[in-house]
Order: sequence, then structure tokens, then C-alpha cells
Amino acid sequence: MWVAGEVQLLYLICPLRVMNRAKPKVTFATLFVLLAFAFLVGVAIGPVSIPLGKSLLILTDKLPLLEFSGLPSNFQTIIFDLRLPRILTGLLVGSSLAVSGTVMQGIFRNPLATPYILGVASGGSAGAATVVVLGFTSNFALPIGALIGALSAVTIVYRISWSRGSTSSYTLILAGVALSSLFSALTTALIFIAGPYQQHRVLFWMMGGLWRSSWTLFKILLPIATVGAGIIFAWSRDLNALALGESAAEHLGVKPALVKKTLLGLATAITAVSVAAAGSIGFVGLVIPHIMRMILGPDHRILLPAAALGGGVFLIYTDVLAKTIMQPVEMPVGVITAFFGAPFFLYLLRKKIVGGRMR
Amino acid sequence: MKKLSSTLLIGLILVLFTVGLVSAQAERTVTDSLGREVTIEEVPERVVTTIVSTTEIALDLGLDERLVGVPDLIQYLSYVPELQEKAEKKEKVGGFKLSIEKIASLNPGLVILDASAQKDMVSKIKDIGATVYAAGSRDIESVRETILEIGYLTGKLDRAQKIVGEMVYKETQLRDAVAKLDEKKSTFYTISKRMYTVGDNTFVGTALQLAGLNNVFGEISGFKPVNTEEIIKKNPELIIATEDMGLTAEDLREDKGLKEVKAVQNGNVVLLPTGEDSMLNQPGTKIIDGAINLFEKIYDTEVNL
Amino acid sequence: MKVKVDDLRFSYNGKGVLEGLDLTVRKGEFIGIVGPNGSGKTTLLKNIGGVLDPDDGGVYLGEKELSSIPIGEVATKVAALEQETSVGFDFTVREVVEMGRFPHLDRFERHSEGDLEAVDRAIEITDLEEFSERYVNQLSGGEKQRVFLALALAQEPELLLLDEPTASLDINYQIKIMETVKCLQSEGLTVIAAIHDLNLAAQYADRVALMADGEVKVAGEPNDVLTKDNIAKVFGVDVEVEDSEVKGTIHIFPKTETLSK
Repeated sequence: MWVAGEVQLLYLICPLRVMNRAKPKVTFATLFVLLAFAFLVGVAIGPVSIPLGKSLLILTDKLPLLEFSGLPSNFQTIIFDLRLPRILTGLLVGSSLAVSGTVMQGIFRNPLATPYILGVASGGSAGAATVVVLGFTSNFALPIGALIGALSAVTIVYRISWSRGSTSSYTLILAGVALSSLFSALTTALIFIAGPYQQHRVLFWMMGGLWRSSWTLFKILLPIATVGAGIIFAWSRDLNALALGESAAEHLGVKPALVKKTLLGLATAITAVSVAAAGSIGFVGLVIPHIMRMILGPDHRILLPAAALGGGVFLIYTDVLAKTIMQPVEMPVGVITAFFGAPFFLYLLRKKIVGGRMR
Repeated sequence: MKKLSSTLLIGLILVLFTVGLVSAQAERTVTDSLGREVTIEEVPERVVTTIVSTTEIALDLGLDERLVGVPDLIQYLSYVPELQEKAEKKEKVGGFKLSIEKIASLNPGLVILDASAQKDMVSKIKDIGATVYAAGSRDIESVRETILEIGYLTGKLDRAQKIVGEMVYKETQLRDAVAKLDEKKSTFYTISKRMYTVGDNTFVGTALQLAGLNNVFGEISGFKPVNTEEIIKKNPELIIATEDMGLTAEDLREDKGLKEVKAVQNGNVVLLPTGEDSMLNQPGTKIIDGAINLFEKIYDTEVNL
Repeated sequence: MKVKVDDLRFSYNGKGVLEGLDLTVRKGEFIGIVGPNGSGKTTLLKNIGGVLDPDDGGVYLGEKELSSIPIGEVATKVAALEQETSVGFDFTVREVVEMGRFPHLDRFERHSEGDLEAVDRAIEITDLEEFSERYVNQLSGGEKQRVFLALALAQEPELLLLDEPTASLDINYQIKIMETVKCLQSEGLTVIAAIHDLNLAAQYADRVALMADGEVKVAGEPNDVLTKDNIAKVFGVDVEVEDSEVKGTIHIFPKTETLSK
């Protein structure tokens, strides 16, 4: 029988990879070490070279009762007001995107799903463009416009695809794709009618990046990202059950419609907030969940926190590259994430995992 | 002595140019910025310009009567209000994307495109039967050539020579004044909160150099964003910002990173109002005036004109 | 668990599928639902399992009406093996079977000894020990079906719903699954199974309910229900029914004339 033949072929390609799954404890320990190292790298490396020892001294300076000082105040500013909030914002944005991507992939049972699949990013761009064209210039106008745009895009997608308290994943994805194109068209139209300076503002915004990071932004992001991800973690068993299909999940006492609504809602919210803070940064939300799933397996109770850590760490490292690789010019971090993410994704395609076995 | 040298220089440029043209008096031929031979049988009665700077040049040459089409975004000509007013009355032929149909409907004899941004439009415009001239905007010299060539093609060579002569004279005087400076100010020029800045190879970059300013990011190419740390590292004495993109002096003063920069600490932040920066941005006849304006503002010295 | 279906009505997109269906299942009984495609077998099972909500009438599990029991509690009592199963992502057999303990645990509760024993037992009963660390997606159709049976068994249900569990399987898997279920029935499990194959139904079910047009036409002992006349009426086909060599079961096969045509 050809089915049996195919199965055997699969064994040849990936012989019992279960054995190769990493132990969660080891993986998490590694991720925490990578995170700690990312902090060191992020604090110590930047366009202005500050020796690692001094950077750490500056951090301890901020602790009460410790005053080593003697260091130039601009070093302090660079480390405490520029680098540190940027690392922390990167951690939150990267985590949110990876968690959101994991949720989307889990709910749609489709490894191609991204955090932006329901139109968050294109909605955000359209919102930002609208704000610019309407002539708002204050510091928070763009993020707020982006947030409103992102949330309205997704709300429309839900309203269209939800009927009688339920929806099929296909309807949602199709509505997301359609609305994304519509919002992209809207953004293009807005860019078209805008003046050249306004055009630039919109285009700059669309090239996502962490340059907007500040303590204020971090303080706004922190509660939303952590509470959002926290509730998502609490629902990871439900997400596991959904992997068996909706009605099998229901036989396990899980209400698919409720799980979908809750998790998609939360994933969308944390994505929308990170889009507002950093624009749309590609590939983190697509690739990190994949890598973590390959390492740890698909159990969301382990996968979600691992993706959160992995996404954060990945974005911190790529952002350090973005800041330093083309000095003095700062690359958009999305270029770097794509640079690492796209080849990996092509590798996955080569391995025929996408669309085939993982469905 | 200096005055003499500048007069000589002007004379030389104009003579050389005119000599090059004498041979073809009946029909006029020039080589445009794309290296194309542009030949005109008779002085064009209907002219279309597609970017702000060539609109400015055409109007300055006195082509008001013959100018039938201008680009959409003519508000960026606000630095010469009387020209802007004239231009506003003309048909708009598009901005980001030119409307070929619109241009065709104006039945122009000459269409002046921008050599760098509108290269791909040349053959399309030729297809509608108009003569195409590609204007240069690479540097001040290419602008001067453009002014002369447009003047020649449109039968306004005298006026063009006068404009270019003034430009060269003013430029020489400005260079003299700059030469007298003890030290050029190191400058960070930005157009947005994203810390986008310009390299020396842009038109604004050229204008900054002319105005006696040392662009701290001169080495970059085109318009690029820089990291705030880089600005701290370069520690410029002066920050020039444009307010077009919603940037305010407040933003710059309150930026956590920029607080560490000499310019902010010493209050040397100059915000160029809309118009003044367009003057630096537009490769037109007023570029030298823009640079002089900037020089006088920054160094508080008058250029001897 | 005693199950009572009372005047159940269900329509899908305005089209009536179940039109006042009555059925009573005794505790510990294995009841086979037979009937032609589209007669509403799957819909009936989904209504009993609480996946679909009836338009009218009701389902009673024991003494309680199904709709009054929270879905999480239903899952501790009722498990199901569906016709089509699929697993998104590379879950191992054991991971999938462990999900069967889901209804018995609080959100953050870890598996207790008892839970793990239930999982081990389910894997053992379904003969999946050697597969337990394999990916479900790498198994054959029959093996996969056994994994989902193990998942259902790990729930330690009182009522098991089977929806044509053997429809697409080779004969050895069909028998394997039916034997396993039969064995569990002897431990007190109530089973309601939609069965495609009349012979299989006759062989394993204590009672058979013959469905057509959204109703149970006849219900009773296999020999009384699966008669020549009933089958002709419901399926529109002529068959011969013989007592089989196995005691107490019957054998149904098409008439030879039908075959030769």
C-alpha cells in the first residue's frame, strides 16, 4: 500500500525524532542563559563602545545605596536610558510575537500562521497612515493610531467570520487575508494622497524597529504583554486539545469556540500592542514557534513559555545587529529578522514539513 | 581681487556655454542629464514641468505664459510665494506617479522630467509626441547646467545666464565668507523623530557644506536613520531639524539620548520652518539663497553681496 | 450509564436530520446504530456527546439532562471515538493519550499517579506500548484509530460513543477495535456505536437500532432487527440472513442474483 510506503519513507527522513527532543529543563536553562547573555550583549554592545565592566557598574549605580560613579554621565544615559529600555522592549515585543504566533499556529493547526494572519499588521499600518495624513504629529499619535487600526482590522475580521458563536478557521484566515489586502490598499491610497513628508513618516513607521523604545513605552507594554501571555499560558492545555480537532477537543470538555475567542483575542491584543510599539517585525512570530516546536515538541504547556523566551532573546540579538552592522546607519530590525528567518523557513519547506506532515 | 575672480569665472562659464551652442542656431540641441541629445525645432509654446524645482526654474526664466502643467505638490514652492501663486493656477500632472494622459491632453512641446526620479517616464512621454528634457539635480553644477539648457531650449537664454551668473556670484561670496570662519560647526541634520539624516551626496548635504557646516554623518549615502548613540558619539555642536514631519524643538530637547549632545546642552538647536528647508531640498535657482540664509542664521554673519 | 434520548430533533441549515428520535440504552449495554448513509447516525452521536445541541427534545445521561451538565463534567463521563481523526503537529502517542486525563484535572494540576496509571492502562488495552513514543502522524490509519480509542479510554468514561470506528480499516484492525471495546463493556462500560457493517453490528452489539430518515425505525436484538424485510425496507436491497456458525450471531449477505447482476 502506498500509504505504508510513505510512512516508511518518513521514517527514513526523520527517524524517530522523539528521541531527539530536548529535555524541557535543559532547554529552559539554555534559554535563560541566552537571555542573560542577551542582556549583557545588549547592554555592552552598541555604536558607542563602553567596556562591559563599566556597563555593569552603571547598572549597579542605579541600585539604591550603591554609587560607584566616576563614569561619564553620557555613558549612564546610553546604558540606562537608551540600551536598557530597548532590550526590555525588545524582550516584550519578541515574546509577544512568538507567543502570538504559537497561538495562531496552534488554533489554525497550520504551521504557516503568523501573528499578523488576521490583519493586525496591515490594520496597524493603515491606522498609522491615517493618523499621519490627518496631520497628528504628537509622539504617541502614531502608536495609538496603529493600535486602533490593528484592533479595528481584527474586530472586522471576527465580526465577518463569526456566526452563531462559532467560526471555521478557514473563514477566519480568508477574512484575515482579504481584510489585510484591503487595509494594505488603504495604506497605499493614504500614502498616495499624502504629502512627501507624510509619505516618509508612514514609510518609516512601516519599517518596524525598536528605535521608539523608552521607559515609558516599556511601562505601557509590560502589563499588557505579561498579563496577555500569562492568560494564554493558562490555556495551553486547551490549545493542546484543539490539536486533535474541534470535536475531539469538545469531547475532552473543551469549548472550541470559547478557546478560539479567548486565545485569538489575547494573541491579537499583544500583537496589536507590539505593532503599535515597534511596527510590524516579520518572521519572529513565524519562525520562533517552529524552532521551539522542533526542539521541544508541540505540547503548548512547554512550548508557549519557551517561545516567549526564544522570541524575546531572538529579537534582542537581532536588534543589537541592526544597531551595529551598518554603523552609523541603523538597519530596520525586520530586515535582520527576515535575514535569519527566511532561510530557515526555506529550509523547512525543503524538508517538506510545511503543508505535509505537520497539518 | 576676489570680486574680479568671481566675475571672470562667471564670464568663462557663460562664454563656454554660448560657444557650444552657436553652431546650431536654427534648431536647438543640448545634451541633457541622461546624456540624451535633445533637439528642438522651434521654441516650445507649451511646457510641462514635473517636479517642484524645474517648475521654479521655468517660472524664474519667465515662462509663466508658456508653462501649462506643473506637479501636484506645488505647495513645496512656498519659499518663493509669488512663483507658487503662479504655479497653483496651472494644470496638475501628478506627483508620485505622473498622469501621462493628463500630460498628453496638455499637448506640450517640451516636457521637463527629473533625470534621477523619472528616468523610466522618458520613453512614455516621447510616445505622446512631446520633446523630453531630463533635468539634473545631482549637484549645484548640474543645476546650473539645467537652468542654462532649459533657458536655451525655451529661448530664454539671456535670463538663464543672468540667473546662473547671480548664483555663481553669490556662491563665490558665500565661499569667501565660509573661508573666513575660524571653525566649521559640526552639525547633525535631521528630518524626523526617527533620526533620519542625510549624507553629503544628497542635495541638502551639498547645501549644508555650502553653508559652512560640517555634516557629522556626511559619509552615509542618501537619507538614512541613525541610532541615537551614534549622535552622542559624534557629539555635534549644532542640530538642524526640519519641522515638516512634525518634529518640534521640544522633541529634540527632551530626547533622553540627545541630552548628552553638546548642541542640546548649549541650546544650539535650529528648527527650520517649512519652506526654508524646501529651499535647501529643491535643486532649483534658490539653492544658493537657501545656503546663504542658513549660513547667516547659524554664524550670525552677513554674506557680502 | 443509562442513556435516554427523548423525541430528539435536530436540523442542519434548516434541513431536518433528526425528526423526533427516541432511544433508550441500558447501563452496560453495547448498542449498535445501523442505517444507510445520511440517516443521521453521526448527528445522533454528536447530540448524545453534547457536541451538537438539539433543537428540541432531550438527551438524558443517567437522571440528568445533558444540557444541564457542564461540558467539562460531561467529558469525565462520556468519551468518543470519531470517524475521522487527525492530529495537528507532532504529538507522540503517549502525549495524545495523556490528553484523555484533561477533564479530570484542574487547569494547573499535574498528572497524579492515578492519572498516569489510567494512561498506561489505556495504552496497554489498545496494544500501543511499542508505539507510545512515536508520532501519531507517522502511524497507519488503524494504529491512529487505536490511539484515539486509547485517548477515549484514558478518560475512564462510563459511556463510549463510537462513530463508525472501523469504516476505513483493514479487517484485522476492525476486529481488534471491536474486541477491545467488547472487553471493556464487560467491565461495565456502556457503548453506543454507529456501525456501517451489519455483520459486525450483529456480532458485537447486544441490541441494534435501525435508523432511517432521522428516526429509529426498529430497535432490539440483532436477529429481530436485522431481518430480510427490515433491511430491504431501509437499505432498499435484497439480502439473505442466515444463522452463523458462531452461536447467537447472524450472517447477512447479498442475494446471489443481486451479485451476478
